Amino acid sequence: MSLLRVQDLWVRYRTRRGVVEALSGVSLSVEEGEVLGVVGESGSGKSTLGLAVIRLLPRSAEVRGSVLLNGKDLTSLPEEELRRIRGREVSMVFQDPYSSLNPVMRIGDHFVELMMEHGAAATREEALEAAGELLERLGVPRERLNDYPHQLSGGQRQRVAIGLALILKPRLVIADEITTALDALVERQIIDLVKEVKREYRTSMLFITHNMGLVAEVADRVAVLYAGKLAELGEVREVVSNPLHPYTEALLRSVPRIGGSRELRPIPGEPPDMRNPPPGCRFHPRCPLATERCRREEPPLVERGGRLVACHLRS
Amino acid sequence: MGLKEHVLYRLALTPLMLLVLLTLVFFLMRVLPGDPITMLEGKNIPEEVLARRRAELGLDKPLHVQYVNYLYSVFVKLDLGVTALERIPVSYLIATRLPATVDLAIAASLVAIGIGVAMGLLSARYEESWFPQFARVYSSVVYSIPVFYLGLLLQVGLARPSGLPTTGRLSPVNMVALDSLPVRTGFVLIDSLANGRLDIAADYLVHMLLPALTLGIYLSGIFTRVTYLSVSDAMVQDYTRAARARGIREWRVVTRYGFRNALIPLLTMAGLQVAALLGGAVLTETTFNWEGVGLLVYEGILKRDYAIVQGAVTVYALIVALVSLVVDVAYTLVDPRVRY
Repeated sequence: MSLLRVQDLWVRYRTRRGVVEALSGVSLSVEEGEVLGVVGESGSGKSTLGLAVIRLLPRSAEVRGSVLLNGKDLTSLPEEELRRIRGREVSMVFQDPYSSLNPVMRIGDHFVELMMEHGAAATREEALEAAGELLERLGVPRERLNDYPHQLSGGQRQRVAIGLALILKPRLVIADEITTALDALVERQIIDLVKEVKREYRTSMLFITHNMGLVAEVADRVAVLYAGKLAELGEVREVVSNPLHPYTEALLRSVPRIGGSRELRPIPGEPPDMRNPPPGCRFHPRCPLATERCRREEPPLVERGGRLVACHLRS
Repeated sequence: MGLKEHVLYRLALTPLMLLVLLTLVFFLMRVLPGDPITMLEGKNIPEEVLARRRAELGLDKPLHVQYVNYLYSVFVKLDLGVTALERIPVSYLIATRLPATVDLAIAASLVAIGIGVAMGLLSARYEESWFPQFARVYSSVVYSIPVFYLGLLLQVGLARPSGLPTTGRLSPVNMVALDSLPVRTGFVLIDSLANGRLDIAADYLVHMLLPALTLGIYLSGIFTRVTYLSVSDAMVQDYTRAARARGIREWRVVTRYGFRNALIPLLTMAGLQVAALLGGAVLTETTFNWEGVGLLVYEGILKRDYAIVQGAVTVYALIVALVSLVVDVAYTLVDPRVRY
């Protein structure tokens, strides 16, 4: 049984200017110890997916489908039961480390609160001891426990946020664009840290990013999202070396590489307006290979060589 | 600039602020028609009597001379002067009246903060229910209602059915008893408790109930609003969402993440409300015949007793300056990012 199984997930936001369909029937799974990369542009629904799994979408969101964690459907769990699962079985690291820690709470108190709340530590001292040990392994000096968030650098704060997501040893960590707000050097350090965590803790991860390069480095499998739908899903190595969906191909071409001889090509056009997605294949207005059929008929997600792809031309 | 320098700098600015205020009040009082003598005797006293008595009070001198004399007395001799007719030192009068106003202000603040924070937090916690709408209407109504009218409403609505006292600080019997107590600080609660007179303390609290409710309810509107808005602003921040993602209990998220961060704007607002508190106290004391500085000011204005009004304004200004200084220092406790 998969650790996480997302089945036919639909998410709609009711906004003043109309209904936005952020996810349209997405199904995927994460196995024990596996890192699943989720890639897509802004507005592809990748962050919505992460928030939907841990059920933290705004109240204006309508959710259909199921999210099974260890066989338990998180979408229908009572609030109190869900609260006990959050942090302990599934946790999340957010994009901006500058705003994801409580500015008026010491770093140590974040850990104390979390561990006491979940009964993982009996005393403050015990919690601080465990937190200090973990932080040191994550490359943050133990003394930082006494500091307030604003006294730490962005990289250190993100390490702290990762520590908070790991300390209760959850089975699944959702990492939502965790390096986007950091500079290139710190990004590298955090990615190395993620790889280390993956090796050492065998934690399963939903690694959400817009950067195909990072996915290639960190993930075992990758799900490519476009306009709220899965475009392609498969082993990272295969997807990167031989992308089937034209969108995946375009994404790969838009990643810069040092010393690369390949020409850097941005994807033409804009992601569609999700209040009114295009008919047929949602990528057709930007696809260089689009045919008449792509404009009319929505391509189903089909298996092709151990991979799933939604494209009329490639299936 | 360190905290100490900051405090000294603020203290150094206080006399300047006082000068501006006193100048304003000095001339405003004299723009009002009449003077202490005509207000007491009416307009029909003989011309020469009026002139003689005005000369006694120094009111015959040119205005700028009176002004300079008064400033000299306040800033150099540190003397607030004497009342126009009875020649009682204003500083003595204010000192005897101040405890009553301080008691009322503290009690009213407790009511205002208690109601305001409770309603604000409940609104933020149960954002989807009918409660925030109710709290919003409540805030607007109590904030816009005149204090004395609210006082009258409470007198009719609460005091009449329950028999609560509507006037004064103590029953006449206890007023006399209080005067004969050996320990006297001027604070009725402290005096009565220090002398083991629980009955006087209880009588005092019962008398304070309506005035404190009046002034407290009036101020609770803005506290409700600011608490709600600052807490709900903190509730949509990333750190709040991150706390929920860690499975922190919702009430704890509201208090430790929402309210704790909301304390910063709340503190600013509370500091600014001190002026409204003192202003409201004048009307409340008048409505309930509560013998504090506010009532003194009211009577002073009616009697055109310039020294009383100017003296009270001086004390008010010092209180406001002191509180805003305390607020500045309190920031360093509430927000770890603030360093002077």
